[in-house]
Amino acid sequence: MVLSIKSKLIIGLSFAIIAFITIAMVGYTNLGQVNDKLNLIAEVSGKKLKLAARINQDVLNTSRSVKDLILAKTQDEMDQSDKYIETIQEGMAERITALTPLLTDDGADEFKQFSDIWAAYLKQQQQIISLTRKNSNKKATEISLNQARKLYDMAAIQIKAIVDSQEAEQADTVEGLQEIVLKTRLAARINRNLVEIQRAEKNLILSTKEAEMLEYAQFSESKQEDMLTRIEQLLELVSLENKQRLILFKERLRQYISLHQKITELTQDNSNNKAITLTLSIVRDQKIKKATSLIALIVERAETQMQKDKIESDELFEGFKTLWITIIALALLLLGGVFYWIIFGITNSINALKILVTNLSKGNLKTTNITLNEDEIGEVYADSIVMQQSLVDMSGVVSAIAEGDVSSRVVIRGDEDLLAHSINKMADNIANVNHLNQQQQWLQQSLIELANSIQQVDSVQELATSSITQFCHNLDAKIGAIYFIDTDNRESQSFKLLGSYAFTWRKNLSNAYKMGEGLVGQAALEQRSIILQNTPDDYIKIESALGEMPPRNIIVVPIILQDRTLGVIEIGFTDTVNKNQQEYIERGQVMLAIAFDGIKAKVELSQALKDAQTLTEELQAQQDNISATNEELTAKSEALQEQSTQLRKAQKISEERSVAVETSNQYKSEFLANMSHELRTPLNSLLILAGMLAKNKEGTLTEDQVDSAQIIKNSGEHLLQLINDILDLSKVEAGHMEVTIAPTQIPLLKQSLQQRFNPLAKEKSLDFNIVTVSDLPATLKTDAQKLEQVLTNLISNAIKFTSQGEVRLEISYQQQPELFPENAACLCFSVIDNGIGIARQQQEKIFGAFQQIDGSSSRKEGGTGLGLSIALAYAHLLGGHLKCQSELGKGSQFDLYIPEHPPVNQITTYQSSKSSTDTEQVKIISNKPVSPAPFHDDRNDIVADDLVVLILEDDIEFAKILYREAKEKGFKCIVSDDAESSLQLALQHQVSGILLDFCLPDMDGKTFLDKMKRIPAIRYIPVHVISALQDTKDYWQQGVVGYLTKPVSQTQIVEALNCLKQFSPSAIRHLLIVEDDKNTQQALHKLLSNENVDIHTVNTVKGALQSLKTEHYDGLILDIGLPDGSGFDLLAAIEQESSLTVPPLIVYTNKDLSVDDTQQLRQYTDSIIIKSEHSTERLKDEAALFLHQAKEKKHEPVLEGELLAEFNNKTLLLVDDDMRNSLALRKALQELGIKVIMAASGQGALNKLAENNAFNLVIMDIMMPEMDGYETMRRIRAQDQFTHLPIIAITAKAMKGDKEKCLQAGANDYLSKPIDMDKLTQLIHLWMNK
Amino acid sequence: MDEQIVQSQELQLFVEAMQLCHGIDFKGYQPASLQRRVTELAKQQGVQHISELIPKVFHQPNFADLVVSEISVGVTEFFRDPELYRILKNQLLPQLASYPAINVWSAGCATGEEAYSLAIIFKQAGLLAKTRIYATDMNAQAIAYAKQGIYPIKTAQQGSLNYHAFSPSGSFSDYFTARYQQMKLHDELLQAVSFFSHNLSTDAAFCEAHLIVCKNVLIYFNQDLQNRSLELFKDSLVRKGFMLLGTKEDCRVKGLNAIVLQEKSSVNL
Repeated sequence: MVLSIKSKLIIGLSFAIIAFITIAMVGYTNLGQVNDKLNLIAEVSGKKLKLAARINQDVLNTSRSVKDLILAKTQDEMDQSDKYIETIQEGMAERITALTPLLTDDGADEFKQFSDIWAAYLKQQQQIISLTRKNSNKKATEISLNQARKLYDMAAIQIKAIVDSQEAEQADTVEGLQEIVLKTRLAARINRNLVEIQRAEKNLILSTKEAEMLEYAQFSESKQEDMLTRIEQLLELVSLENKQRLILFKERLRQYISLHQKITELTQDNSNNKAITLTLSIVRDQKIKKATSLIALIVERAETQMQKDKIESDELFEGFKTLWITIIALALLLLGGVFYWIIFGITNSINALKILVTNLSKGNLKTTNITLNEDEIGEVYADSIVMQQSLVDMSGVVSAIAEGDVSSRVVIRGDEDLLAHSINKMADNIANVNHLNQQQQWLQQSLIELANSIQQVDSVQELATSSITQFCHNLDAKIGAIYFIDTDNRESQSFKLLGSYAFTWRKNLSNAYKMGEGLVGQAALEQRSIILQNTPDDYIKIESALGEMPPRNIIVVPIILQDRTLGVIEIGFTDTVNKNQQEYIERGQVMLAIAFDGIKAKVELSQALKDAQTLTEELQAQQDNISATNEELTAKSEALQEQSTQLRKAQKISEERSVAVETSNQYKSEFLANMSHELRTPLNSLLILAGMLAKNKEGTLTEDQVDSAQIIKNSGEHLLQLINDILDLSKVEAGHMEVTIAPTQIPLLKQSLQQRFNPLAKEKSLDFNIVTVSDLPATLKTDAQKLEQVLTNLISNAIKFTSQGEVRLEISYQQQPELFPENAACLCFSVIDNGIGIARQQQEKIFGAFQQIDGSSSRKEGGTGLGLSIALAYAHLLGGHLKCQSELGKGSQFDLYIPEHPPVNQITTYQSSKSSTDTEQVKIISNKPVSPAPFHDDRNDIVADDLVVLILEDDIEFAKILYREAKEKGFKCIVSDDAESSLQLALQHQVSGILLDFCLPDMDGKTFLDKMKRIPAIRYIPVHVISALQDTKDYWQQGVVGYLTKPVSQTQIVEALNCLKQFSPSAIRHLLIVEDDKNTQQALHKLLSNENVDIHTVNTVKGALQSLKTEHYDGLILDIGLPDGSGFDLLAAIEQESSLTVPPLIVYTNKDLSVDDTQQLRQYTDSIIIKSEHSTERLKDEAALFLHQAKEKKHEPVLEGELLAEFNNKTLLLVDDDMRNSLALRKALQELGIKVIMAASGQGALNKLAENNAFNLVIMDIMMPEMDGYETMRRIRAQDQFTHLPIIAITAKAMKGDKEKCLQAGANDYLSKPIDMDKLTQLIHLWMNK
Repeated sequence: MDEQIVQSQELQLFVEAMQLCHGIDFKGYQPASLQRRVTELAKQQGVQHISELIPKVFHQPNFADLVVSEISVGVTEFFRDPELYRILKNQLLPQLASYPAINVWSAGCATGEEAYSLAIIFKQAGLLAKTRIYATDMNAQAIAYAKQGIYPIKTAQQGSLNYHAFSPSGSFSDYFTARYQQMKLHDELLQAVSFFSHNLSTDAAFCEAHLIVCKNVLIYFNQDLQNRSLELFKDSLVRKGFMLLGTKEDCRVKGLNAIVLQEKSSVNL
């Protein structure tokens, strides 16, 4: 196909255009890819990096904040920290969500791990926060140690003062003493409560368990209540001064208690300790560290990724460059081809034309059929020449283009010179594309350079400097400055100049701009770039060595990240700023923002890490502090314990005192009662006789003598009155006063008083009135006689001490809850006078016995001085109160308050009885009638000198047996099946002994014994117990002479009866005293004379032996040093005599005894008394014991004959420093037929072994002083001859190691104390046969 | 609440382990106090839970000693509570003098200050020659320390103050030699006191005592162990012997037929 040149050209052109479009497209696509990659780096990896770093920071922030929270001292601080934590958590949650999809596979794994750890941490943290928020143990401790402590101290001082003042108070009367004791007791009790409350508080703070806390809180509450009641009680009793103190105390207490409650609340809510522990454990867990490290890993990954992405994009760019060149080369080649093809075509045409023209010029027209006219051909020719020329041109242009010079252009010959146009257009296009590419390339290159420059920086400062330099460098700008947000000053949002390029500082320029301030601030606010064109000449100058010039254009670009302005870049240009440069700045700005954020995060992270570290330290310190506080608290608690001890002591003393007071009071009253009785009898006759004399019937007496007789009579009457009063008072005090409560008619009472006192008043010209102030009940339940007696006393006193005016009795019905807390209704009888009155300081005294304001007045007015004491005592007896108010010279008022309903416990009437012993007995023994004997016994035919046994046994059949046996032994018997009756029976009859069943229906044997021992008359009756119970040995020393365990044999019953006979109070014991010192002899006689003993005294060994041979003795008191030998000699001599045995023995000597001596004596007795200052007391005790107690029955071991034979003639060394134990062992071993040698120490054992090597076995105690059992055994084993000597170690210790130690030291076997004889026998058997 | 149960169960196991492995029985201790002490021990050992101590009980050498040491609270000083020594000296010693030999048991003696203080007042009364003081404690470490009779000089200062509070004559310094910030009690005293490790919760009576001093020991025990200890004392005491307990301790001991003294209270003879 032949194409026209035009077509060819068109085709060629099309090809070229297509090629260029392709090139452009390929280039564009590639650039796009590079761009994308860069964007990806900026967006994804950067974002990832940023997020991870932020999360890491969040982690640390959270941990720090939690610690802040714990350390927070105020609620505000706590709230703040809490809020901050919340904010962090929210941000973090968002970031975690954002980060999750961005992570690659393995990063995701780690991140998941992180998330899990974090979730766990959060859970714990929540716990910590809630614990911390609730709580402030610290605060509680603080309050407790400071405020509460102060108040407590103040309160304690007050109450202590009260206690002290009470203790210091001297009482003149028994009653006074009683009151003091009561007051002291109350005050001491209050003090103790106070201490206990405080202790509970400390414990509360120290305690870690809720239940404990609750307990302490409740305890303290109950104490508070108790205390308040007691304060009220005390208030009523104490003096004015103490009252004030007490009120002050109460006030302090109130404050203290409110603080205390606060402490309790705080403490109960709280457990900072737990929070701290939890936090510390988390720290220890390294959860945070792990979380941080995981995140760090992610950050690292992201960084690597970013690096990788960057390298990739670099490669991509390089690839693109190569591709681009290749494509251009290919395009040019293609173009060349096309043009070649076109030119070829054209050349052909031209050749054809040339041939044609040549042919035409040769004239060869026949062969050709060309319709060209000549002009055209010429034209064509000319054109051909022109064309040839233009072709040459074009070819040059195209070659130039092919060589890369896109600026050459073909000369256009006309509008229709399409080819030239096309070529030029093509050249234009190529030039354009080329330019575009250059710009892109610059942009990318610059951005990469920028990225590189800011990649390595560590601080914002560095970032600012290197970035602005890079900016200016890349932009060919002449001046630049960069501002970053001032993170230290979050609130004001200002931007600080951190970096500059060729920037000279000028005075009036600020280095910081606030939001909206200046262009920098404006750009930051608007978050939009501002371009300033044609700046004035006086704007900032760009300086050089040669001169200076202002920048023509200025661009101010904000650095923005996620709508937040982080900084501003300001760059000045001398030229206009092109789009490309603007784009660079915009894109660079984004990179800067990310970098800034990253650096910021990094910096904050490292800061947070440091913070976290310090906080951990602080927390540790605080923990230490808490420990110290705890110790302090413990110390305090110890001090409190000490205080409480003192209080207890005080309390005990006051209790003792009160007991002593009661007792002495009782004695006093008894004495008085007796005395009054005794006095009254002679007084009676005296009065009668004096009266007779005064009457002077015979008229034998002078007037003087009659007067004297009258005085005797008057004085006698006075004395009688006094005695009666004393008797009354002592009766009340001794509790013997009988109170008969009955309805009392108040009108009658009034009438009686009126009748009685009207004459008296009239005599003294006084008015006496009885006034009823309010409505009264018609009757009052009380003892009318006592009431009247009190009122009589008060009124007669009033009349006595009033010389003119009025004496008035006011009766009113009142409510006095303070006096009568239970039932406040009472009647008040007020006796009011306007007489001489009583001085304030006297008022308390007047109620005391024999207290009168003026001693002389009693002489004048008469009276015993006991009236008011009796009145007060009666008032109390009636359940009422008597109060006095008076002013000297103005008169007095006595108020008697009698409760409308007498309190229940006040109704008890006491039986008057002739002696206190009886009273006591009445208390111990109920008034129940004696129950009849279960079967007929001898209670009704007992005569003097009968030996009577009381059988207390509820098993009738067994009682019958006992009855029969007792009768057999010559006893008269009383049989009873109830303990109460038995006590009475024992009292009623001369009982010589009691057979007691320990299990009784109405009380157990122990109670029976207790009761019996409290009744002196029957205290010493020997009791023999026959019981089904095993464990009665505790009561041995309560005077039980023996006991049998059911079932019993007839022989045992006989023995028991013999025993009773022996110990019956009537039975005489024979006692031998071997003593050469006359004084001691006398003393012993005196000491033992109360006992029913027959004492025989000798002063020599010989004499003693003689006496023992001739007579039976129940006991022997032996001195060691005797003229003809020693006590040891006597004992040895008794042992020698087969007919004699050593009777119960007390060694009483002034000789110092060696260990061996003691050991020897201990075989007979453990009553060894060295004469010393206090030894007689012990002697008395020991003697009483041995006279009243039965000999312990020998324990008869049941041993098989075989063993017994085997043990015979064997010798054993028993080494033990515990003499009692070794003696008991020896006794038991001797009963087995073994000969026992004893040693009391390790050295003693070695000595014994050295003396005699015929020992068959050694029993070795371990715990011995000086040389212990281990050491002794080692030394024994060290001797060759004893390598095979069997040693059995015995020790009190039961630990695992002890046995091994024994065996290691050389023991063959081991037995722990207390020694089981059967086991020991087995072991001896085992090892002796070795 | 659950945690508490877990804790107490852990403690139970720990106690069981001590018993099984070493025969040391803490069952009779007041649970609250024991819990506190063992928790403290756990903290000190750097473990979070009491149960983590159990392997140590079994496998760590000398750990049992450490446990005992940690659990026993050894607060003591010379003549602690001088009033008590005054009473002892004036009222008890004259009575004890009537025995041919006197045994004194200082139970729970910790580092031995009390035992030596007793030795000193017996020495003053001229009774030391016939007196034997048995001093026991479950804490073997404390016993080893006590045996040396060497104390920091600071101890002597408090001791002197206490001494002057009850004794009008002489001085505490008559009984020791001080050098190098230390004080060493005279050998005579050292010889008079025999130290033994003895555990009131497992071990038996080992001597016949005329005077037993056991102050502030029973407070750590529950009722059972208190009873056991008192039974032990009862078995050890001679007839009419004396028993001294601390202030906190209940003196109304059933069946203990000895005169029971409370610190600072008057002797009721």
